[in-house]
Amino acid sequence: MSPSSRTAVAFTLVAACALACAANDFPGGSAPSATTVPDSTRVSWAAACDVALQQLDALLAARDADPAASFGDIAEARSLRSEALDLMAASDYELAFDLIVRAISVLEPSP
Amino acid sequence: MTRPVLFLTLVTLVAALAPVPARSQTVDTANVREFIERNAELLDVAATLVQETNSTKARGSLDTARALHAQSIKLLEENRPGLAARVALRTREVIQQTIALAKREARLEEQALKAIERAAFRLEQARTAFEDAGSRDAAARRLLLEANDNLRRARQQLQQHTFEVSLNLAESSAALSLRALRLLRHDLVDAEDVQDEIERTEHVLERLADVRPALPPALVNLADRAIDLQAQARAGAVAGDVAIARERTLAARSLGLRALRVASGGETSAENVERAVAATDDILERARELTQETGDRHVAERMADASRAQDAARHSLAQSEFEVALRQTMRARAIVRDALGGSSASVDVAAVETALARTDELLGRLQNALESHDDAQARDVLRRARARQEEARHAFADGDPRRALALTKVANNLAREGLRLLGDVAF
Repeated sequence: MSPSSRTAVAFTLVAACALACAANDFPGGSAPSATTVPDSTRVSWAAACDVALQQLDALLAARDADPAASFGDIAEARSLRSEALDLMAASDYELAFDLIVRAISVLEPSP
Repeated sequence: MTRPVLFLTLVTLVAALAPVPARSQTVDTANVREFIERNAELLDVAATLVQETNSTKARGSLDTARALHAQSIKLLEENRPGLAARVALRTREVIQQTIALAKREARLEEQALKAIERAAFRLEQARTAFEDAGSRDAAARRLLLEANDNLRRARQQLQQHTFEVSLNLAESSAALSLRALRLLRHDLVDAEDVQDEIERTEHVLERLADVRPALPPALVNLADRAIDLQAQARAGAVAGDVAIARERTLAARSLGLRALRVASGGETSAENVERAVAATDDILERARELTQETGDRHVAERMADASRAQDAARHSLAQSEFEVALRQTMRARAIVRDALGGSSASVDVAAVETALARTDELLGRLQNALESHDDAQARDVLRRARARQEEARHAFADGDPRRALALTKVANNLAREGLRLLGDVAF
């Protein structure tokens, strides 16, 4: 499997997990409230962020253990992760998800 | 009037005033005496169990049961068997509640004691690592201070016999020390992490043991396999084989959770809740860093509330109460969001412009530094920071200041990283 297809698979997995979480596992009533975004949507994004964050952490751990890994890749991914956590703390899960996926793509680049 | 006396009076009154069932009109004194004698035996059992715990709640319940028992004997001696029977029935209920309470409190007390021991050991390890490294890491220092404070409060709560609170605080202290260790010593963390995983699996298996009598044969087999794998994990940990220990304990937990899920008919995915709790840990850590900078007391208090909600979530997760854990961890996030000033939906455009300008300034500084001291890694970081800053400018021009702010902060962090690489003392 080429790196680009691996990336595509990874993103599909993230999206699938997010959808599954939204549909089955995260009760809408427990979500943080928001002025413009319905609770159920917010919680779906929160679940998607959790899934993607776990995937990103696994990639970061693998890169940390790889002596040949690019310093810039890791620095950029960590910077994106850190900003994503700030956004999650502010319940801005949609934008946070975008940054996490960007970080994943930094660590799994196309050829 | 003290609460137990008031309670006892109320119970006796309710028993006395309740309508007498038709069959109790012809109540047999011998049967009532026998029932009361059986209550006396059960009271002894309850008293033995209560002696094994320091729980004030359990002692209070035992006192109530004893007082009710005495009432039932007195009523029988006064030749009022119907009333004596009703009080004796209520006595039996209170005895059963006392036994359940004593067992629960004893288990919690034991868990809290063990958790305090673990937390103290882990805090000592983290302190030693901090001193050995001659570290000036502000984040690690903050975590150590918080871990120390939580451990002190856990001991305090144990002395006050509030075991559940004590347990939560001790677990929180250990988690904070572990985070400090992660920042300071990577080699030590593997062994500590795996021990932590083994303990978490143990909680799941304890829960599974409680429901075992009601499990169908297939699930009993699953539970047995989980127990076997956990034993292998413990053996691996003792032998210093961290990889095997982790693999086996995770497999054991996975089987245990699957059995619990099927047994309880629960729908919430344990894996998703575990993931949500882990993500909240990261969010809290990041938020702590941010709020520490503000020095705002109210914000610090809200963060402490969030930590408590997260501790409760972790505890519920360890007890396999997944839906409760999910609600609690999402509540922790909601508190953090409020503490940080709510949703960023209304971003101040002027503040974004300032942030963009600051990043430009840092990028210029990094560029200048590279001209006098070239470094391939720093040049690569500068290229990446510029790309993100350009995206931020585009987002701002497209009327999306939130995205612009997020991206320029990423560029800013990268520029700082580049300056650190070049030994810029300010970074």
